[in-house]
Formats: sequence, structure tokens, C-alpha cells
Amino acid sequence: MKKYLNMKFTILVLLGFYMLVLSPHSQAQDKQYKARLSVDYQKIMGDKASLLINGKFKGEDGYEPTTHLSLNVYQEIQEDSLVLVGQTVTDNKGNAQFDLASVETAGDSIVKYTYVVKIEDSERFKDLKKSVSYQETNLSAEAIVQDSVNYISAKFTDGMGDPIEGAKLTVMVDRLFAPLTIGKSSYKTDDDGTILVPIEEPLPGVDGILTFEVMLDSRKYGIVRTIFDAPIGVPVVDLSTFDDRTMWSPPSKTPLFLWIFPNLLILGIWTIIVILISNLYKIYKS
Amino acid sequence: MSKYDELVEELAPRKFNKTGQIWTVFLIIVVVIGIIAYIDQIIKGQVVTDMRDYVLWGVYISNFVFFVAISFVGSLTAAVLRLTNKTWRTPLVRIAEIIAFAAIIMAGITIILDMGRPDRLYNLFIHARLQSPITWDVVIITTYIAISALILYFPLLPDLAILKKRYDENSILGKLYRWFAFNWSGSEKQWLIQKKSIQIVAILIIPVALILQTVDAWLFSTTFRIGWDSTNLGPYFIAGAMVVGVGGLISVTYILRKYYKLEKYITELHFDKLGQLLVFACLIYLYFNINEYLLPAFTAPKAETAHLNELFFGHYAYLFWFVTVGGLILPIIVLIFPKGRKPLPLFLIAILVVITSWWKRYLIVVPALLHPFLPIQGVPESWHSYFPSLHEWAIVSGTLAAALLIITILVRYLPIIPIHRTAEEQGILDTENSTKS
Amino acid sequence: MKDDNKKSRRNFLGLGLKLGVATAAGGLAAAKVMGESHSDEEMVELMTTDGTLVQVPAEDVMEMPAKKDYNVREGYANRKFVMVIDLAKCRNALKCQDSCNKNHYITGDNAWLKIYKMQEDKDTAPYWMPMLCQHCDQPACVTVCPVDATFKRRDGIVSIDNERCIGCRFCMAACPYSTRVFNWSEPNQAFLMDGATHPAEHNADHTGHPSVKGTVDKCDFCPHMIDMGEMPHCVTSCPNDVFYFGDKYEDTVTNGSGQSVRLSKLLEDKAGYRLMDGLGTQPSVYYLPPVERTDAFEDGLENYNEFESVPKPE
Repeated sequence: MKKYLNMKFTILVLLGFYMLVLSPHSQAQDKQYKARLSVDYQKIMGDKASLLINGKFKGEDGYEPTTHLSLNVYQEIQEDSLVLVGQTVTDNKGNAQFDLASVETAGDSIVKYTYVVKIEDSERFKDLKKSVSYQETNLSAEAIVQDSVNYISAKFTDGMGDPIEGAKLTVMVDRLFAPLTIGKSSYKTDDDGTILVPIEEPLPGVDGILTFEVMLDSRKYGIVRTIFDAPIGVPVVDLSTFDDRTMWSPPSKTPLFLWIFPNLLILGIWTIIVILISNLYKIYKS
Repeated sequence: MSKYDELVEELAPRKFNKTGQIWTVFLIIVVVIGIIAYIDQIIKGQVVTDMRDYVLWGVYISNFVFFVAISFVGSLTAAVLRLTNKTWRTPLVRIAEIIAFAAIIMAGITIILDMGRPDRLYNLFIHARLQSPITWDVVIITTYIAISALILYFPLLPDLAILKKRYDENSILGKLYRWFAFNWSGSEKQWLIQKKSIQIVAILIIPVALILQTVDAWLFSTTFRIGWDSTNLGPYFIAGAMVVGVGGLISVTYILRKYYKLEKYITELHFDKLGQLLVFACLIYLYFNINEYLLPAFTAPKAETAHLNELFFGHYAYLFWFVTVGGLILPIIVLIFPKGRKPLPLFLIAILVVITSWWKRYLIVVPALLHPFLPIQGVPESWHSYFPSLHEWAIVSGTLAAALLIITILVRYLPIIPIHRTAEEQGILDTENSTKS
Repeated sequence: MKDDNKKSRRNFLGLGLKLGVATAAGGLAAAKVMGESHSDEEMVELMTTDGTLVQVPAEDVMEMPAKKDYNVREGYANRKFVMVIDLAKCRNALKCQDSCNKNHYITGDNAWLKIYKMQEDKDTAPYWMPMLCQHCDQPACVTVCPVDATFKRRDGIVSIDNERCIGCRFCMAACPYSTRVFNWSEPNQAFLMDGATHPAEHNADHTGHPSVKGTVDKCDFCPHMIDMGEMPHCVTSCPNDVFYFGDKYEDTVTNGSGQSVRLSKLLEDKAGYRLMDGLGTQPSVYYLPPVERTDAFEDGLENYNEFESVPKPE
């Protein structure tokens, strides 16, 4: 009996060992890749702030996105003290967006905030951490008219409301696939923290409404955007021939000439044919 | 036997002898082979043809144009000659009408064979766009089928009435003749209706036939393509239709005359007149050919020059000169002389005209497609040329055989030469069964 | 950067569509999966844009919802799609052709987008010219179609209804740019579009999905991409930013790298023109002449194959 139990025990241990060492889990342990993470802080004024994360690694065919990668997000409270604030998973393009709306940020002092994104316990990738730091800022913009010229005016201030000079702001108008930059690629804020960008040429927009975006992309402050609408566009006029009667329209919009003339001809000829057939019938009857 | 009875006996349809039977069976075999090839095409798709993205139309379309062209003979003889009161036409009209009827029906069928999705044929009717030349073609072909049938049928009524007496009332043929004779009794009222109807349809068929040929030409000249984009194409096709129509009429008439021994009714005079008509048609067609082929050489735009070089000296040279010299120049030279218009030489020329006319339409359709505006690149080398595949030959032969089969069947059961009309002209009407007409 | 704008862009198009994490159902395949293993989950096999087969968790594959307020035959309101092709930058890399072939599952021998080797005369400069459907404003092809199978939309796109087409090929005869292709045989795309990714409903905005035997196909300006706020595959796959795409009413076109420029300025600065403008077809594709080429013409000869535009697997 004891011997039997002993054997069972051994088999169990062996099985356990087998499962640990030779299991599919560990067997599938391919080489762990070293990933690269980029983390940006983005704040959309009046909306939310978030961390924009992108991961890639060098695979066989060059750089490929890290898809479905689980990431841990920590906030650095004090030096070397990290607090886990959440998790996020990258999509199939290697991108992840972690919203910071729920996380407390003190807005009135010039405080440097730091977040750390970590790859931990990943099968595919080696552990990695990437941090991003930023200071709280505010950006506001609006469309104004001066001497019947349209301008975009923007003001950039820090967390306490003091203007920030020398920041590079880009003014864009939202277009269908990618925004169109207005004027120079960037404008430096003056000592009032403002810029004034003229809109040289009229911009077309649906119903005359244009969506403008003023953006700052800096290491110190992260990506800060403000988006607003202004009805200073030239209304779009539909110049398509879709509603017209043309040679390339569907049958419901045949040109009148083609509708009238051929149909009259067909009607006329077939009326005669029908008369002739009725003549045959008359012959039959008589 | 009275002269009248003799006439009827000579002109009434007779049973086929061995030759006729073999001929019919041969045609049926060719048609069946064509049908088998077509079924294969339906299953595999049109990849079984040699058509590809550049030569997107091939022999199916050129064959279709040929059928449309040859159907012109119906309106030409039956209507034009009828209206101009040329009495020599009488023995020929029925043959012409039969050829036209067979040709236009086969034209309608042939175009369906070229469709990638024939199962969606009904779309042509429920979703028709009046802006499209194909819609015009569909309408005019349907109209012409109806009119050709009528112009064949109305003059046929008195003859059917004569024929029905020859068959036992209870036999199948007897029943058919009786039914189709539509109670024709030769009454004054019936004659009035018939005469009036023939007059109407003879006038109507002329504009319809002209529209038919023109719309057929517009399938090509409503595109930008070199060789097709020509303001000349409408009248060009009308003249070409006249040529092949008369050529076809002569060919069929000669054969029938020999087979049925109708020398008494279709005399050398008839051939002489037909020959004159053919020369006249060829001269007009030659005029259009000169306009179409020589004139672009004067300004010689690049694309036109490339196209013409291909025809005159290049890949299509042999075919082009065979068609032009054999089908146009030679007939004109031979037929100007009365000796050339004797039945046999005229028949040989007519056969040549029909064959070259078929290839002429091939030359209209295919070479232009190999000269698109942008160079032919990015496609397999085989796509740079075209020659009909076995499937295409089988199907095309099937359609030609089917047309001949329709003619054969109609010739078998209908009097080739209008009996009543001939009797009337010879003044030997059977006073018992007819009244003045 | 682009992702952030997606929200405003979507509202922009006025569609209110949910952007799927994966768009495999729409024909776009997922990128290579190198994340955590999901051994417990249902896997779906997809094909990536470079031709490899991968396993993707089924939960990530989202069917694109059917658009309810969108009339495929009318298209978008207040948009007119145009393309600009910069011939000075094209070096026949053929990435555009490859991407188009893959994303439309082209199995025939004639690509919808072909790069022509052009030289008007022996004394004039040779150049590479990408050629695709010009989506003409006065389309010869639409004019001659007898059954209304090919149609011109309000937004300028000329599209084909492969369920209506009768295969008469008159449109192909009428097109002066020789840009239409015909499905002479069964397209047999199944091996390219694995059954699991093939949506239950034929997507009318995605030509070639599937192709139908006996009907005509051609470049469609990728409405299925525009529906998702993205540009046609040729535009985004070109490594040299040869293609620009955009809305003429907005007077803006964007290249593959995401740079937007004003259309009128681009055409004026670089002397844009249209092909065979004299024919009166009013094409929607503009070309910028090959002046001051970025690469030598001869660099493109390496990739040039006169007799092949759809490379077949060995």
C-alpha cells in the first residue's frame, strides 16, 4: 500500500514538474523582444488630459507595433515613489490612450507631474519603463476680426495664470484627413503669452463653420490643444451635377430631349405596328 | 392542268431531297456544337474567349454587326424596290424578307452571347438608361424584328391560303397552314386591308432600317477611340449594309434557283439587275472607305497613323487588302461589265462579298481596340494581340448556322417566290378562287 | 497625433460611427500580433497587409456597423474628392499598386492602379505615371452604361454596382484612360479573404469585396477608407508622398505622411494639369509635372515589368 502511494506521489510530482518545465506556457517562451515606448502627455482644453502611448519593437521585418500589450501606469508622487493609477492595453497599431481625468491634479501651483508607464510581466517583451513629465498650463484661443481681417488669437499661460513667453504655437484648421496649418509652421508667444495669426486667404467650410485648433508640442508642457469653432469660413457650395439632368445621370434624371424625342419616336412606330397587327386580326375575323 | 395550277405546282414548297436533308442535319450539328461551347462559356466565364481587357470586344460583336448589316436587305428589296415599282423584284422579295428576318433575330441572340452576365438580361429593360446607345440598339432591334416579321407575313397570307388547299385538313402541316392563313378568303375587304398594310409597313421599314444601321454605328462612334470616333460612321455602315445585303441576297437566290430549278422565274435579267445594284452599292461604299481610311493619313495625327499603318502595312495588312480588294475593288471591276453579271460569276463575286464583309466588320472592331490612348502596359503579353479562340469560332459558327437554319426552314415551308403575285403578273389567276386585287 | 484628431474628424464627417479597434471585417487586416497570449479566447485568422496570416483574438475583430443614413449611390454631401499625383516624386516603387491589389483582393492580371512608363517622344523626358480611375465629372463610362450599373456620386466618386452590371463592357470601350478591368473568370478571392473575415453583407463601398465574374471593376477611391476617416490605400502606402487626396470644396489635399496643403496653391505653384483634358471628361485627378525629379527615372526601371501589374504568388 505504502509503495503504491509512494508511486502515485512520485508520478504526481513528476507530472507537476513536467507541467512547470515542459508546459506549453514555458515551451512557448520565445525570445523576449526589447520594445520601445513613447509616452506623451496631451491636454485638450475643456476636454480631458491623457497619456498617449505608442509601443514598437524591432522584429524580423523592421519596426512593428506592440499589439495587445498590457501596460501599467504609475504616478510619481515623490522621488522614487510610484503609485499605480491604472492599466491600459495597446491596440493593433501599438497605440494606447490613458485618460488622466480621474486622477487628481493640483492646478494652481507650478508643479511638475510625472507619470511612468511600465511593461511588466510580459511574455513577449522585456520589462521596460518610460516616464513623462509636464507642467500644468492653459491655452485659450478665439477668432477675432481687426480691420475686416480675420485673425486667430491665442494665449498661453502657466498653471497660475501667468503668461509664458517664447512658446511655439501652431494654428491649424481641421480638414477632412489632416489639419491644414495656417500661416507659418509655428508662432512664438510674446511677453503677454499671446500670438495673433492673420488668416490670409479665405477658407472654405461646410455652412461657413470652421474648426480651428491651436496646439503646442513641447517637452516641458506636453501637447496642449484648444479646439473651437468659428463661423468665418466661406460656405461650401455643392457644384456637383448629381441633381441635374445630364447624360451621365441615372434614368430618373434623363435629359428632357432624350426623354421626349426617342419616346415619341418609339410610341409612334409601335402604334403603327400595333395597328398593323390589329389589321391581321381584322383579316382573321372577316 | 391550267396554267395557274402549273404555277402553283412549280412554286409550292417541296420536300427536301438528299442534299437538302444533309444540309439541314449539318446545320443542326454546327448549332449544337455552338450551344455546347456557349454552355462552357457560361460555366467558366468569358475567359474561354481570347478577349481580354484591351480587346474587350471581339468576333461576337463583329458577328453581331454583320447580322445587323445583312438584315438591311429586307428593307432594301422589299421596301425600296417595292415603292419604286420595279416589277423585276417580285421573285426576289420573299427571299430577301426571309434573309432579313433570320438575320435580325440572330443579331438579337448574338449580342446576348457577348454579355458577361446574360442572367441579368432583364436589367436592360427595368433599369434602362435612355442616354446609352445600347438602349437605343435594344429598342431598334426589337422594333425591326417586329417590322421584318410583318413585312414577311402580310404578303404571305394569300400564298398560305393557296397552300393550305394542298394539304389534308387533319395533317399537322395542314393545320399549320390553315392557322397561319388567318381565314384568308381573298375577299375584297381582306385585300384592301392587306394592300394598305403592306404599303404602311413598306414605308415604315425604311426609316427604321436606316436608324438601325446608324445606331449600330453609334455603338462605336460614341466613344473616343481612334478608328471609331468618326462622324462618317453612320452613313458608312448604311452603305456597308447595302453591299452585304445585296451580296447575301444574290448568294442565297442563286443557290435556291439551282436547287429548286426556278430558272423560269428568276432569270438572267434578275441577276443582271442585282449585279447592277451591287456595283452601285460597292461604289458608294468605296467612297466612304476612301473618306474613312485615306483622309486621316493627310493630317496624320500620331494615333491615327499608328492605326492606319497596322491596317495597311502591319499586322492586319493581308486581311485588310483581301477585304478591300476582294470585297470592293474586284466586284466593282467585274460587275461593271454585263458578262460579269451573269448568274455564275455574279454568284461567285457575291459569296466573296459576303465573306469579305464578315471580315470587314472584324477589321472595324478589333484593331482600334489595340490602339488605346495610353500604352498597353502591365498586362500579359498575350493581351497585346487577339485571335478568336476555339470557343469563339464554335459559337460564331453556331450563330451563322442558326441563321442559315432559320432560312432553310422558312424556305422549306414557304413559297420562295410569291405565288399569288406572280400569277397576278402573269395574268393567269384562278378565277374560281380569287377576285381582282 | 492622427489618432487624437479622429474624434473631431469623425464628427466632421457627420457619421457618428464607432471606430473599431480592428477593422478586419472591412477588409483591413490586423498587424502582426505580438502581445500576450490569449489561449483561452477564440482566435480568428486574418491576413496582414504584407501577406502573412496571423491569429487575432476574435473579440478584437469588430464588424463595421451598416451605415443607415448613407445612400451608396449618392455618397457624401458637401464633398468632392480629388487626388493630386506628383510625377516629380514617383520612382516606380510600386508600393501603391501592391497595397491596392492586396486590399481589393485582386486576383486577375490587370491592376486597377498601374504605373505607366511614359515618354511622349524620344526627345522628351521619360517619367513614371501612376494611372487610376480619374473619377471624371463628365464620365464617358457612366454615360454609355445601359443599366445604370456604374454611377456618378454627389461626392465625385464614380462607382460600380456589381450586382447590376450585365458585362457588356461598353464602359470599358468608352473610357479613354483604359482604366477599367473585367472579371473574365471566377475571381476566386476566397484564399485571400478567409471566410471568417468576410462580412455577411457585401460592402457596397468596397469594390472588389467581392469581385463578381462577368462584371467590370475599377479603382473606387476607397470609400470604405473614407468612411473611417482615412485616405485611400495608394495614398498612405506611397513611400515618396507622390499622392495627395482631399476634398476640393475644402480646397485642401493631404499626402500620405499626413501633411495638408491648399489644393489651389499646390496646383498653381507646381503647374498642375489633368490628363487628356481636351476630351472634356473633367477628371478629378490632377498631375504635377515631373520637373526637378527627386529621384532619377532610371531608378524605377528595376521594378518595371511591362507584362505584369498583379504579381502572383509563386
